[in-house]
Amino acid sequence: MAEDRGILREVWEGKVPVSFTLSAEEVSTYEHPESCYLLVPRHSYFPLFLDKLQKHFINYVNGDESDVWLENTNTNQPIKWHYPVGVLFDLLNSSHSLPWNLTVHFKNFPDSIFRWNNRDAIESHFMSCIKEADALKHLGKVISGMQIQHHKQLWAGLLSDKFEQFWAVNKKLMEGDGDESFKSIPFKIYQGDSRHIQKLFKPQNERGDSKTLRDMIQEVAPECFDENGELNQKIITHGIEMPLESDIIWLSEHLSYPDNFLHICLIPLE
Amino acid sequence: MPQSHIWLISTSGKVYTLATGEQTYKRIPSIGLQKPNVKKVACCPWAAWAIGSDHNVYQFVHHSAVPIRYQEEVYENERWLPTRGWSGRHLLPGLDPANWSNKDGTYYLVLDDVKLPSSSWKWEHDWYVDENVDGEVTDKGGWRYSTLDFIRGKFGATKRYNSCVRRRRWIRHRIYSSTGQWSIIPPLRLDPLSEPLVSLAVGGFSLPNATPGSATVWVVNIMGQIYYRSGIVRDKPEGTNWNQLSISSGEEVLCINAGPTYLIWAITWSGDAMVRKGVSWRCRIGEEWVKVQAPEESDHLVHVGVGSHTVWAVSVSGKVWFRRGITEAKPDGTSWVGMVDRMRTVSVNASDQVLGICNDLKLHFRRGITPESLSGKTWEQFAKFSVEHYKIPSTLTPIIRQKRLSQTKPINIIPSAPPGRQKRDVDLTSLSVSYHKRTPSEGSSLGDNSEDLEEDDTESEEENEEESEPEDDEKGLKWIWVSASSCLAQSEEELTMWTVKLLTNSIEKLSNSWKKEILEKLRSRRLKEFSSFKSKKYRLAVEEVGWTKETSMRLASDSKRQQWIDCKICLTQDTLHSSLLLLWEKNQQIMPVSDILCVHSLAKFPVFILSTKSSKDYRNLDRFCLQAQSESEREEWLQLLRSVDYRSENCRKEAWAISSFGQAFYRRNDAWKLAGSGHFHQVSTDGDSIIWTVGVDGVAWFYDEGKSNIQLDKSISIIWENQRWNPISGYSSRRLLLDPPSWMDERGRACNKNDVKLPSSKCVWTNDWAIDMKPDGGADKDGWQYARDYTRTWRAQRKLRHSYVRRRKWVRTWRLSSLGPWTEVDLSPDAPKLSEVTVRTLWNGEAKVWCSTESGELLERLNVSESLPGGSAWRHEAMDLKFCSVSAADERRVWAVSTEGATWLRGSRPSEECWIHVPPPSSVKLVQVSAGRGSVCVRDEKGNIWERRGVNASLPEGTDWQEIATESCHVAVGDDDRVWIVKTSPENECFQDIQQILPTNCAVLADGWKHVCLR
Repeated sequence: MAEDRGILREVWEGKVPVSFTLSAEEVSTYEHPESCYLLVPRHSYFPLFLDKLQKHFINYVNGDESDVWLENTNTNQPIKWHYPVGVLFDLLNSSHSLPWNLTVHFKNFPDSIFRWNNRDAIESHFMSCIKEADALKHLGKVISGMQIQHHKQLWAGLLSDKFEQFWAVNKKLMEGDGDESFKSIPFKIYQGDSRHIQKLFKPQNERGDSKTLRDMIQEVAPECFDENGELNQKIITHGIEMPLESDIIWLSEHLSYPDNFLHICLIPLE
Repeated sequence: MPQSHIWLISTSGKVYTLATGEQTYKRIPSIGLQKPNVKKVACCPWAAWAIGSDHNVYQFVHHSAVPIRYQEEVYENERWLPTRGWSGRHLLPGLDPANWSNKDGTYYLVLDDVKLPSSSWKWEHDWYVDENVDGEVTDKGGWRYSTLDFIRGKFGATKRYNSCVRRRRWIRHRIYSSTGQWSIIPPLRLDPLSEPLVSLAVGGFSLPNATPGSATVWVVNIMGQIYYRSGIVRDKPEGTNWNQLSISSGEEVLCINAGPTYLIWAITWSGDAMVRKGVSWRCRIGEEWVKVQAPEESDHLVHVGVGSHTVWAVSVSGKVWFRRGITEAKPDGTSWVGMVDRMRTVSVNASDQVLGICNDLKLHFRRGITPESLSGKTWEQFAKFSVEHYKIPSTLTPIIRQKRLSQTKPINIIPSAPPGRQKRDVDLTSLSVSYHKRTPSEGSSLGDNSEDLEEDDTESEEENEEESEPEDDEKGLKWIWVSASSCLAQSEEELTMWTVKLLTNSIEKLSNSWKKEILEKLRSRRLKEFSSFKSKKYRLAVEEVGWTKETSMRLASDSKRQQWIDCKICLTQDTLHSSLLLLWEKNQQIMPVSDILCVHSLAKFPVFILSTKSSKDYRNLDRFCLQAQSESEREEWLQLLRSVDYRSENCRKEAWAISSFGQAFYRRNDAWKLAGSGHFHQVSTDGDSIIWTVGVDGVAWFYDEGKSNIQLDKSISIIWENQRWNPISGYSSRRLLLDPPSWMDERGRACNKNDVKLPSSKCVWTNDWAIDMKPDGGADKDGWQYARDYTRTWRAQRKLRHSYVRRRKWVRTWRLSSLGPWTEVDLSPDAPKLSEVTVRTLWNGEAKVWCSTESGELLERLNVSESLPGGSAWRHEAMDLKFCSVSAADERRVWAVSTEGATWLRGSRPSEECWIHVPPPSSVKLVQVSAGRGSVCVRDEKGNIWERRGVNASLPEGTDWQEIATESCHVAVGDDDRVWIVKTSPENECFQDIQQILPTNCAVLADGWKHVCLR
């Protein structure tokens, strides 16, 4: 248990260094602004920090502030808001060049990403992810049995990056109910730019043994294995490669993101 | 949960056992049986009985760490005459006992007259004189002297001028040596074949209030008569004799079965059932018969399986019936319910789970049996398991008789394995391949036995004595008989284990190497991504802000917790520190969380106690007793308060303690942290890695940090019923003003049966309230104890002038299954129940662990080391005293306190392993000892603490005793000569403090404790 708690803390405290640079075309003053360097928590979402970016760059732009969007500098792809920071980092910055360079745009909001209006939109997206995960795990019983103040506490813990505050409530979502731990595992597998894979996966086989990560990948993404059964992709979450023999239920309990999903990125081996 | 077994007979008549939690059938060898096959078998948790093919009854007693040992004594008496001196020939006839007599002197008993009761017993050693009778050392030669005669005088060790009579006690021990093999029980008739036995059952081994180890064995012979074996107790496993139980209606019985408690059912030749009514610990065979009709006229019953509260039967057509409505008052039940499936035989275990053998001789178990639906849902087949020979556990080592210092006595080392056992070892290694003349090539499969299905009771033709290779389960072993009554599997989950065969790679999953890998990777990620960038240039995207959690609770306004006032509790966490704020009425108290020494929860209400360092008086503590609104809220706050400063987890644990509620805590940096769940009675450790505890029910556990095991706890709740006698209405619950309440709990508070709540919502009651018939001091037939007043001693007899009040003890047990870092040391079914344990680590990482059991024996656990904290085997220290406390001073010296109140020291002389008697302070009876390297402290029954002075390397037993403290309920000695005591608090056990007596005086360290261990 001491190990488990250490792992939970390490996962929570993961931060990535990001350097935000204002897009060159949008600078409206003579001086070019300095990049904004931030250590962003992996488990959080980008829109929550936009006010910092705005404050930093506000003097250098005269565009419409509500149209802020981010772009991955190396690939010129717009960043999807609704993915957690850690997922985006693993997926887009697989070469791990640190710091992660992102370009801040204030104009020309692209059509390929969702628009968001305010912080509440992020909160409702987060809560709906949690409810979906609970529906997969416990048929929705745990989340519906919680009081509103606990839902609020989850979001508040995420916002303020407070481990104890978040996990005081999240612990209940991570418990099994009685004999079966989770009915199915909430997970999303990302591969390149395509739509993520999300399938139903029962974590226990007929005998009641819990399955491993290897079993899950074989079932939902069998193309990761070549003919010999070797992996041809790296299976990454939270920036680390997971051992294939890990117990899948344990992974879901400890290595999920705060929205209770296991976000797994498949990165091809070089 | 200790292991338990089911017993099976295969189609070839060989006996197998299957243990819970394992997946191999173990074949019991036929040593001891006159013919190698067995027809019927019946079992109880510590032994099994079988009817062999020669129609003799055999018994198989399991090995146990504490051997079955009985002490025989003979007294030698002498009288002094002025002319002749001391002699045994001058005893006055009629007045004095004989020269050699038993203890009371009532009959003549010579040393040679004392014989072994049967061939299963062996003498451990020869007769020797006991030099320590009743806690006192005797005179030279073992004599004790008295003034006038043998009956009235008190015997003492000193010879006075007016001592006229003397006696000494001779002792010899015998041990039951045929554990682990079959031993024959004297038959009913001289020629057992004249009246062959057809049915066998054993029951009554869990009757409440009965002597432990007692059981009743039933047999039925071909003429339909029932006989039972009486007198089976732990000290006499083979019982005394056979008695007949008559059936008044003249019916003849076909088969009999008995459950662990009060159920005894028999099936008659006419197909009906007869049930014995009125079975209790006083009357094990019941008082009368009650008849039960067969479920259908044409469908006669042929077999019955009896559990604790359920009865299943099988009729001629193979249909299975379940008897509904069985209670203790009505053991014959109300009606039959038919089940759909067909079975050949059924057997019910102690928790009412059912096993059955179907028509194609495969073993099944009934799925879905819960207390609500006792008839279950479906039958599920057992998976195929492998088979191996039953091995003697390697735990037994030769019992070496311990020498005591006063006199040389003959020492006999008798190996615990009689010669027969060596032969069996040899047989295991040289297996013969083909055993069945019928199977030509494989020689180890039962495939060709399918023709034998009809003849299930035939005797096998082979007469060879060699042990043959156990049948392989490839084609599936077939069974003809199963007996599950010794199986203690509580729930379906434990039995479900037998229906699926676990894959071997599941063992890999249990190892946590991948967890460590993940943690390593996370740590290196942190280094790469975060630590190298944490500079002024990079700001944190989310500034750390504090958060607060606030709730309103109630605070006890005085220490008696009679009044509650509303208060608000507020936990604030900032980046650097966290603090707790309490606001009530007009006061407030702020304390940093690091000052909170301990957080305790109490049993009954959602109350918890916070102890903090007081700002006013550094020597005392501030205590706050808070009541949360619900149990879940209390749990939430307890977790929060305990987890807030987790970062300092890698410090050394200085001391361990058990709270008065039974939870284990360890001390780190002045604060006490909870170590997992579970209810314990005692803890012992030396250093950081090997920590042992003894649970409330006597089970030993060791600490396994980082693991999260399923722990099963059992504990007892007790309430007392008090009554006072008055001339008008006799005994009634009307009380005098100062009397304790008529229903009170152990602490004397008023409490009804319904008021007693479980400590947490996860606990489960296992039985209903029952009267404890054997409280301390004895009780009469209804369980009442009598005394002159509530503070006097209690007796079982009601004497006219001394019985103004009476009381009765009610007990109820509860069970709790939780996850925690403790692992059971010994999972075997006969694991000894410990009362105290003491651990001493040696320099090479191993440890010496000594324990005393609840029955007073001393055991040592072998091979305890950091890699194997549970050790591997028990070694029994054969003594002729009973001990109640033990403490290891260092690697060689061990101090122990016997039940008579004297101390003993082992290992003080470097060359001999013997025990020295160290007399206690005069007229004081000791109950507990704690020894460190430099000092030894004992506690007596009045709560005073004595220290042994003068203990040093050359004189390890010290010189004399000095009293150092009073009013304590536990003492613990640390290595560096620190002595801590738990002071008794007159009003409330929960406020008992741990104080450090030496070197500094009386600094209060914590509160609410009952046991502490410092190393």
